[in-house]
Amino acid sequence: MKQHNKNAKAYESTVLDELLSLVTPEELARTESRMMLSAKIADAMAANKIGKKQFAELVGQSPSVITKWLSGGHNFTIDTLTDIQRVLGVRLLALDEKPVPEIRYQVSADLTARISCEIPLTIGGSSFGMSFKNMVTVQISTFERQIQSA
Amino acid sequence: MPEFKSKVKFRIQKLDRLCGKRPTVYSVILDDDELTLFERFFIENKAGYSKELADLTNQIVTMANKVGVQEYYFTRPEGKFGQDVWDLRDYPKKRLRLYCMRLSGVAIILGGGGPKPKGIAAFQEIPKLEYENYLIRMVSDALTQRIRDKEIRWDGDEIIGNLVFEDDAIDEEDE
Repeated sequence: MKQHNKNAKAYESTVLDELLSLVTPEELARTESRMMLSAKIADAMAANKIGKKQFAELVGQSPSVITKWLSGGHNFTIDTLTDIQRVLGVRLLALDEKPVPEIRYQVSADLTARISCEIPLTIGGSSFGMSFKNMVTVQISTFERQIQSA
Repeated sequence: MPEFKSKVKFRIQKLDRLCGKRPTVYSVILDDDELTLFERFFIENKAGYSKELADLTNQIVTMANKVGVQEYYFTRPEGKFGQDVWDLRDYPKKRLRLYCMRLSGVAIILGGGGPKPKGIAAFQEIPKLEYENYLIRMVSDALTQRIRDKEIRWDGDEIIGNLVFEDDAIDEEDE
């Protein structure tokens, strides 16, 4: 018996690098969501010991639709997911978990304002312009965001 | 059925760049080629089908890292019982076919494939698809025989043993 290789050789290639450069995080995340959803539905079908045909009847669809649902490429509507949840007793939409936390903003400010103006004065029939500047500086120093947990 | 050379030499090659936590990903290198069938599939189709290739890659990466090589992600084309040859399709338009072998749900061997235009019912109507399909079936037969003969075995998620097929590749006459 010839033994050419005990294990497959480690393989690197620029072609695979180019292929993987097509993968964007957004599209990968969408594919992951769809495929994991399919896996969850398939697991729930197995847990309930029902096949495609029976599941199809329970949700009022054809078996070919179930095949499409499980393929990992289907983009489900919320209504469909709600129906599947009800029939299989599996949680696909996590709507009753903790609400989005309330965000409160706290602002503290030191107020000094820079004002410049001219005040006309009349002394003995002569007009004098007089300008002065008050130093008032406006500054918002602290802008805090507090997150309140429910 | 397409004509192959009387003995097609090939080896099974692990694609470390695509392997994740779950199934091990392999492809096939024919004769003295430098690239695997899967890389050839990418090169042949990247000009016109980059979105479709990206989706297929996303599926393979997700299977390798998250969900495993589940049967329901694939479509089974025609083949003899036990050949374990499936095809993977891009979504949503399903313009490409990538032929693969699923090995006990823990490993996948990626072959080649190509575009399948709408309106064509059977892959046998497209010479390229017919060739790639029968090629991966031939690989499947040879690999299955080696496993039966205990020249190849499982080590966790990996296949180990004699992964180079030179002297005993399937002849057409053996079918």
